[in-house]
Parts: sequence; structure tokens; C-alpha cells
Amino acid sequence: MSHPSAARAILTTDARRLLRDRFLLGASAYILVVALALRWLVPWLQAELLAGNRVDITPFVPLGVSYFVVVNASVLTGMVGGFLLLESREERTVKAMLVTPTPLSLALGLLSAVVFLTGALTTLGLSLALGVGVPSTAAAITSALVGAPMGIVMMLILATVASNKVEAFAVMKITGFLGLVPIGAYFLPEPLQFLAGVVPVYWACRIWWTAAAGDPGWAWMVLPGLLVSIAWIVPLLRRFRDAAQR
Amino acid sequence: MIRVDNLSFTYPGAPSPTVKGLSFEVSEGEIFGFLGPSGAGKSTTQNILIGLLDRWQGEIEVMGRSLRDWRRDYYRHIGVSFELPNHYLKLTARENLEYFRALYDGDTDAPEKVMALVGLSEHLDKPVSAYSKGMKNRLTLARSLLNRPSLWFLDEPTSGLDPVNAVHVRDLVKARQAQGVTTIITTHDMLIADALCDRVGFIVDGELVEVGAPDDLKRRYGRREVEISWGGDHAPRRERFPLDGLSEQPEFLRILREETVTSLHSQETTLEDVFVQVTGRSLR
Repeated sequence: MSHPSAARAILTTDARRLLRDRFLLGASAYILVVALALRWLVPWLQAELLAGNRVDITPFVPLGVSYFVVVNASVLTGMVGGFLLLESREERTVKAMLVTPTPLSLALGLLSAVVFLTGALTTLGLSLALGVGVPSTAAAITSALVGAPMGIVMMLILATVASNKVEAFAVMKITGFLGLVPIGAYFLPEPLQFLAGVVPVYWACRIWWTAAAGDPGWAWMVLPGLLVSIAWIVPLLRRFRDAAQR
Repeated sequence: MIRVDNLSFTYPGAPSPTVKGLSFEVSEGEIFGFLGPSGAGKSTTQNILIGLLDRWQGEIEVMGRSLRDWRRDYYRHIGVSFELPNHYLKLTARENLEYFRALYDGDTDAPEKVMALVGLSEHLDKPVSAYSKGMKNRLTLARSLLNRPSLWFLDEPTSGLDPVNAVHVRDLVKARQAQGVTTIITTHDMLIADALCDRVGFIVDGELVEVGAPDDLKRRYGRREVEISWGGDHAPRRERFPLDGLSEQPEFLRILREETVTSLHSQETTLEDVFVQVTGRSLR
């Protein structure tokens, strides 16, 4: 099988579909708009609150930034990928692909890679753009790489649990809470906080806060972060394959 | 081309098998039809044959090789036209066909060529979202021909088509047969099955209850009778006579000679009648 030409066709087709969908284009642009707004909003808010001698939000800035940068980047790219994948299922093109020499795993692998890379690069780009509440470059890169698989998880949940776009919006509302879990967990004491570790992006957020607080002991969090992501992705991929055949 | 022996399949969690002990053979260049009501197991059988379902029991040999031994190269040789269209609606037909064409290695036909075969040449650069249901179905057929399959699976190929296009599809299948293509049709449309298929198999409740050529089945299960009506509007009469020895039936000959005959029909049966007679079930 000539995978390079098939891969090119898959990527071109996905790009065309994305560019012809106003909703998905809007969702892609949303995260950049939020990041740019935060670039100005966070320092202003910080100064305003301090000037009024009311609250010092400085300790919570990395927490808030990690939500908008790490969680949002992966969840939103996952949502865009999820809608593309769900549409392929809804329009039954996935089923048509199953009866060609190209394996479905190639299309799924490519889309997952695009979602992963876009999520990770978006996180890194946003952390550069924001400049506040951001950890060291090494920690930001690690957090981006550990958080990006959450996009693949979101993509597969949307494309597997929902059977059409209307259902997908309902699923999205429910799964949106997954993104808030790390933020809620921040206020919980350990070891209770580790319960949030079942949500893949928790570990990426934790790397972010820990490093931003100047604590160098964040490297061990990479392994549970990746393992939890794999534990979600593998069964979801199986379920998607089953759903695609129906 | 295809040999199936004692094929059974149960969906995970289902209490009973959907396909039960199916055995049949399809020769090279033959058009074979699976007929049966919805839920009879036709599509399941087809999905097994095209490799979409596994964990089946029995033996299946396709093109001289066990189906279990085929890998993805199987799809170089077969074409599948599903009952429901499978297209990216935001893309044009050309973009859809170019995409699927790129998923094949080896020789493929250009979108222009396959679209011409289904009479959609003028609509090649139109978004599929603007297509009617019948046009989408014809595009599905076109896509299934991209890789010049030697084994062609068609699921309800005339569904949603107007009579003129249904005839075009019929001609297309016949033309492919002339080129040596083997075709498996799954349908509950008895007319298309009668017109197209060399042999048909009736599937009911997952079992293959009868296999034969449509004409043979009609002969075997049909009534060899003739019905004659006479007497006009005020005193209509009607009677049936066996076709065998008809010329020696004195009453039949008397009616012909002495009465004003209003109609004379041989009581040939339809494939649908045969199906109902064999299975005790309707196709609807």
C-alpha cells in the first residue's frame, strides 16, 4: 500500500473539511482570541486588584493560566478533531475506508498526531504569548507534551459516545467538566488530590503549577500523565473502530 | 469465486445467531442475489464476506483463498457499494473520488470515467451536499468501481433511484458481467433480482432456504395454469385450466369456440410469489 499518497489524501481532505466548516474554524480561532485577551487581561487584573489592596491573585495566576493554556488548548483541538471524526462516522466515510487497502489506523493515527501536535504547539505558543504565570521553558514543553494527549481523548470520546453532532454538543458539555477537574483538584489536599489523576490533563496542569511555583520536583509526573492518557486512548480507539463498522 | 460452507455468526450480546449454517457457492462472472426481508441476515452475510465482521464460524473461500488468510490486499480486488451513501458532504464528488482513489494502490479509474458510468459527469464538481438521494446512491456505485473490482458487492443498488436510473444501473451491472466481474447483490427488490441475477438465494431468519435461477424457481413453484374469462359485463365467467394437455381440454376448446373471450392469461408466478410460497414470509 502506498501510504504516503494515502496519508497526503487524508490530510488534504481533513484540512478541506475543516476550512469549509465555519463552526470548527471559529472554535480553532477561539483559543487564540482568549490567549490574546489574557495576555493583557491578567496583568491588568493583577494590578487592579493589588492597587485596590483587595486580593493578591499572584499565587493563583499559574492555576488560571494552566486552564486557559494547557486544558483549553488540548480540549479545543480535541473537540475540532472529534467533530471531524464524528462527521466521518456520521457520513459513513469511515466505513467506506474500511473496504479499501488503506487501514483505518492510518487515518486515525494521522488525525491523532495532528491533534497532539496542534495541542502541544498551541500550548507552547500561548505560553510564549502570555508571559505571565508560565513556568520554565522545559516545564512548559513537558506540560504541553503531557497535556496534548487529552486532545486525543476528547476527540475519541466525542466521536465514539455521540452518534451525531447534536449528541456531540451534549457530550461536549459533560466532558467540559473533565477540563475543570484539575482546577478543582488544586484546592484539595494530597493524597485526595490524586483522585483527579484519572483525568489525563491533571498531570500536565500539575507540572505547570509545580514548576511555576519554583519547585523542581515535577519530572516524576510525566509517567503517570502518559500512562493515564494511554489507559483512556486504547479502549476508546477500540470502541471507535467497533462503532465505525456499524 | 466464492465458496461458503456452514457459515454462522452471532452479534456480541445477541441471544441467537443472525446467520445460521449458510452454505453456497458463487461462480466467476456470476450475478448472485441475496433476497430476504429486513433483518433476515443478508447484510450481515455481506459484511462478513467483505471482511467487516469477524468472529464468524464456518469456512469461506474467496478467489481461491480462505477469507481468514486475506489481509488488506483483499480490498484491491473487491468493490463495495453500501446501501447508504458514504461521502463527505462538504466536498465535491471529484474531491471525494480523488480521496478514495488515493487509498488504493495499483490501477484505478479516474473520477471522470466512473462518474460517466453512472451518468453523473455533469455533476462532478458539485458539492455532494447538493446531490439528491438518488445521485448520492449513484456516486456510491461510482466509488465502488474506482479500483476496477473483479468481485463487486452491491447492497440495495437501486434504492432511491427513479426507474430510468434503475435501468442504467441494471445495464451497468450486466456490462461488468460481460467483462468477467462477479457480482453479489443484496436486495429485497424482486424486480431487480429477477432482471439481473443468474441465481438468487432466499434468506429468512439467518437461514438460506432456497437457491436457484429465478426462471427455474418460478417454474418450480409457479402454477402451470391458464385463466380464461368470458361472458362480458352482464354474466362474467372465469375458469382455470392446466397448461399441460390444454389442447385436449374439451371445455377450454368449447369456450374458445363458442364464447366471447375477454381475457386469457397464463398464471406465471413472480419471484416474490415464490419467495412467499417458499418462506411463508413477505419481503416487506
